Amino acid sequence: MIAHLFRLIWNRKRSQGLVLGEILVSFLVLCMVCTTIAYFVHNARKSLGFDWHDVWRVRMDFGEYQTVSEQERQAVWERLLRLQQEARALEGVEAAALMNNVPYSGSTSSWSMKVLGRDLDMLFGVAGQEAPEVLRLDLVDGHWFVPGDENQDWVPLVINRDMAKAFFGERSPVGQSLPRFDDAGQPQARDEGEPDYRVIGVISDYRRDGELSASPLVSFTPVRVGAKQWPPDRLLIRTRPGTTAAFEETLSRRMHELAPDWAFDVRSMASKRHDALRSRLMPLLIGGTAAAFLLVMVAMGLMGVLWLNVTRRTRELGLRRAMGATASGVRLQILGELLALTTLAVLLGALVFLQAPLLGIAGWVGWQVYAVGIVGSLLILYTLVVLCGLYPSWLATRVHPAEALHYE
Amino acid sequence: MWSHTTKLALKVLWRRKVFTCISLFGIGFTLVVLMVVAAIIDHLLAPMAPESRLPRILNVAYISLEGDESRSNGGAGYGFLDRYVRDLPGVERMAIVSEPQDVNGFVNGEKILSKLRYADDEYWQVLDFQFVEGAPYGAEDEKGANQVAVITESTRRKYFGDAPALGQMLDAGGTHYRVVGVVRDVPHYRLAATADLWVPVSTNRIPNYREQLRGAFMGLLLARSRRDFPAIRAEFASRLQRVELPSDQFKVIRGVPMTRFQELARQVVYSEPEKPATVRVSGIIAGGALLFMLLPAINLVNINVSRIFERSSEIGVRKAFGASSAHLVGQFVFENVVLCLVGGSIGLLGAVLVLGWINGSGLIPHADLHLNLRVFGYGFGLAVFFGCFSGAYPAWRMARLHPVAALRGETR
Repeated sequence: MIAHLFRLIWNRKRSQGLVLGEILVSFLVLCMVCTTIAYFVHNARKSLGFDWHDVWRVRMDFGEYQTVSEQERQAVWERLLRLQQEARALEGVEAAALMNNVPYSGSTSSWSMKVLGRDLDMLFGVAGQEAPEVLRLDLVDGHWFVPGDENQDWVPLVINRDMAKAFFGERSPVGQSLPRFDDAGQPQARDEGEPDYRVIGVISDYRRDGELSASPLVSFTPVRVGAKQWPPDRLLIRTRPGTTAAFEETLSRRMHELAPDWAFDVRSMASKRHDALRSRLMPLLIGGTAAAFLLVMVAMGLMGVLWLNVTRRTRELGLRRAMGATASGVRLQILGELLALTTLAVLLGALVFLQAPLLGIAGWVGWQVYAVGIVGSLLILYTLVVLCGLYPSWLATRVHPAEALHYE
Repeated sequence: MWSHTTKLALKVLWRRKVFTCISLFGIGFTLVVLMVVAAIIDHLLAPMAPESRLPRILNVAYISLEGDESRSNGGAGYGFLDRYVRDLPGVERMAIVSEPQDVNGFVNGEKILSKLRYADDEYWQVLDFQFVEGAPYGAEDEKGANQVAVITESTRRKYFGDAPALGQMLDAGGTHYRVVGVVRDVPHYRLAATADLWVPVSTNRIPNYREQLRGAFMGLLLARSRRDFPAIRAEFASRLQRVELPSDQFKVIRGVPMTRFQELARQVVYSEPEKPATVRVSGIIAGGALLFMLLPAINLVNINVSRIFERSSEIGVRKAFGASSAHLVGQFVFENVVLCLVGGSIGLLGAVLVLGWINGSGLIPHADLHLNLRVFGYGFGLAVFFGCFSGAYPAWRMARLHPVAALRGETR
């Protein structure tokens, strides 16, 4: 029966080829949208690893740093430390920390490395001593930076669980030096003069890009003061619950008093989060709307083509009815042909998807998510195709044998 | 002849209204999306107030300092523009303006977030803002670091309600400025012009910004005409050789004065300044449009191919009476183009609605997107292209029918 359906398709391969192409492209579009949605949902269900409530962010613009003299750099550092202390002393402030790679921010300090054949991108940030209190980070192993840490001849590092797994497997990383790798990703001894990064603590996670993003590999070093260091340009502040926007004004004024020639931008983490979520969802919304319109268009087109095909095959269908085929038999034939064609398109689509692991897409979103996305789009595709076939297949059963055979 | 063909085309479309509707839905939707994108690109690149002189403007918005181990790239510093870029031959005026920066102001405990730009007095001559109150600040304000500001209408509303703002003081980023002028709101896609308030560069308090090579500034060079561009670039390149680099950390400084399109293209593909990226970006845009048209085109081809059947007797008769294949192909492609033009009108209407929605939604702040003659032209071109693109194959199939088979109603 199924083989016969495929033969029927093969006999009209030229016109069916176009329908096939159309279903194939729709399937690809559907998969992209469904995988993105599945990816977002999957991410949204994981814990953030930090708490954004009652947190304020000050962005400090201290001007050009890279090309200025050593004295000017020192002056920048002194100011930064002063600002942190003064913010800490404000009424209603529970904790304050200098930091970069702050949550919901576009600016990123990162580190790329080849580790045992895998290309890894890590957040490589600086965080002050009170960062765990400000962001309510969840320390699962070891401890956070303590005063004096920055003066060792090695550099303390706090990393997240995913990063611990990538570098140390199941071993506890606390107290270990971060292994070094050469350009080809093979283990290597540390070069003379290269800093020795030693893990002192592990946090559960730090998904700074927010609810819809994946878990990055995260590492933090303490704030190390010095002209050779790059200063963090964000100050995070946790206030008592219930602090209102009026706090922003107090904070803002205080910052301007202390550093009148710097520019400051004070924002609540809640508003940064709102913007970040919007900028993630907007493209999906626009893309999803466009995809929905495309699918409606394809569905209408498909129904039209099937309709015309059925009228064109009046003689064939009439002959089948005359030879005793039932109405439901004819209907199943039309639907079956359509489903066979769809399956063919899906199989061709699968060829495209098998390339995805090679392109790294599946590894990026994760196999589960990828599978859910594909299954979801298959469900939608088959439902849509069957809906499109219902009316034309019903039309096919209305063919009266006598009339059909009389046709010519 | 044409009127006859058009009449025939419309008759054919009218005969099967359902299929015509399905086709029109697809064409209309495709063209709405493409026209909205075309309108946005057009508004980014076309000269419109306050950037009416855009075709004559070159931007120095990106420079790169490079050494063996370090590299610092991004906006130009005020020092670089001031010391090395002034008085290029062929340049009528040069404005120095910063990137917009977020500043907070407070009115009755309420925070007002504004985009502030440091701009020199030349800025008001290079661009043509429409003042609703007052006038721009001048050279004395720039020289004397007077704390004066030009604001937009929406900034005025936020700070002062609907009252006139001339002479009023406002607090932005901890500094108090006296308002000397109010201009109409500037859409965000007018890249060199958009901001909420402008103040003299000299009121900027970043230490020694006057010496910096790299910074958050850009130079807008207003040339006498586009023909002077090559000479300006050549002189700019030779001046780069003379730049005194701050330390031996950096060995070379690179940069090219670019038109708006070149600058945007560079940002899109992150290319080096010397390598023009416009061809690549145009290719990406055209490729994207083609890819987007693919599905609607297959859809239309499908419907058209299926409809050959309906018309086989007509084709048979015409062929039997001596119509050539080329003639028939021409006729069917023409019919399809007519269909696409009708769809295009629907698309145009849809695009107007979508653009109105974008303007109202605040998705792009102060957006004032509208269809102009140029975008209308793009839409027309796209509709004709889409018509030919999706009409060619069905037409070829139709024209190849054998007259005898066609008259019998066979279409295989």
